[in-house]
Amino acid sequence: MIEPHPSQPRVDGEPVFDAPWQARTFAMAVHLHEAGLFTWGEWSERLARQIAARERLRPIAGSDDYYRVWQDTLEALVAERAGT
Amino acid sequence: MREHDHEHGHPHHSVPAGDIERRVSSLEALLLEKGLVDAHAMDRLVDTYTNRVGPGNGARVVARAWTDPDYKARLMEDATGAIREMGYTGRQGEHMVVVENTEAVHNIVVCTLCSCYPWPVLGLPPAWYKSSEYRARAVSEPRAVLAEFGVDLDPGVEIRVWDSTAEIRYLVLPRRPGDTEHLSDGELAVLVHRDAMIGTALVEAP
Repeated sequence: MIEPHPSQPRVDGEPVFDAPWQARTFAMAVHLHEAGLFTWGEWSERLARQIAARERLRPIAGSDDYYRVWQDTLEALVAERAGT
Repeated sequence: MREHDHEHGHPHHSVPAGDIERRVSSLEALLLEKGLVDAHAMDRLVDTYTNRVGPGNGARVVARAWTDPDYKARLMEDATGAIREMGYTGRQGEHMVVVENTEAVHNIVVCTLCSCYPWPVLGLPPAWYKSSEYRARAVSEPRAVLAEFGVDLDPGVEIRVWDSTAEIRYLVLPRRPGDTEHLSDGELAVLVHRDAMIGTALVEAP
């Protein structure tokens, strides 16, 4: 079962990020993209690949799972592009 | 952090939350040190997406489309331009397409591969939009998914599923509820919730 909206108000009442680290990893990716480290198309493709790899192990249930995969993607891209 | 996770009933199989926090903050420290990110720009981004951009923008677009036929025509013809006209521009809204619900057709939006979503009009996606389950089932059994969201469509209504990509983002133009002729754009916008613009809810009269 998908749990769309646990309770009223079902809209705009949920926090955007469940934890501050999710906001930081989100902002780092957007910032690095805007700085030209990668295009958004490249980002989406890499993120999609990481998501697919993760889903072969177990499903993504929510923001925590999702932003962990986001961080994995970001670490890999930074290592590749920024030589870290 | 482990206790925190357990309270919420989803333990993380092998990765305690502390690890991810450390990974994120060390990456940020490294990028700051290398001058690849700027701390103020990071803070502004977090503030923008936490507090400033959200589905209220999309709701105003929908309300105007309901009340202004010329605007609706422009929105259907060139959604990116018509949305820009309202002042909503920016990341992940560069190529927008609006799909209209009618008596005969109901539209629902998903991103099967990741989580592409029209940020300028809806903000960042809700948790369920990113879940493996929604991304798979919105395509394989949209009618059942809609029923779980409380949307029971007449069997004769065609469901169209739109797969967002990094290039194209979709916004659903929901049907205007009856008995709302007396309402202003502002009053109508209040009725338009996020899920209705993803296609997983209908707009109800007040």
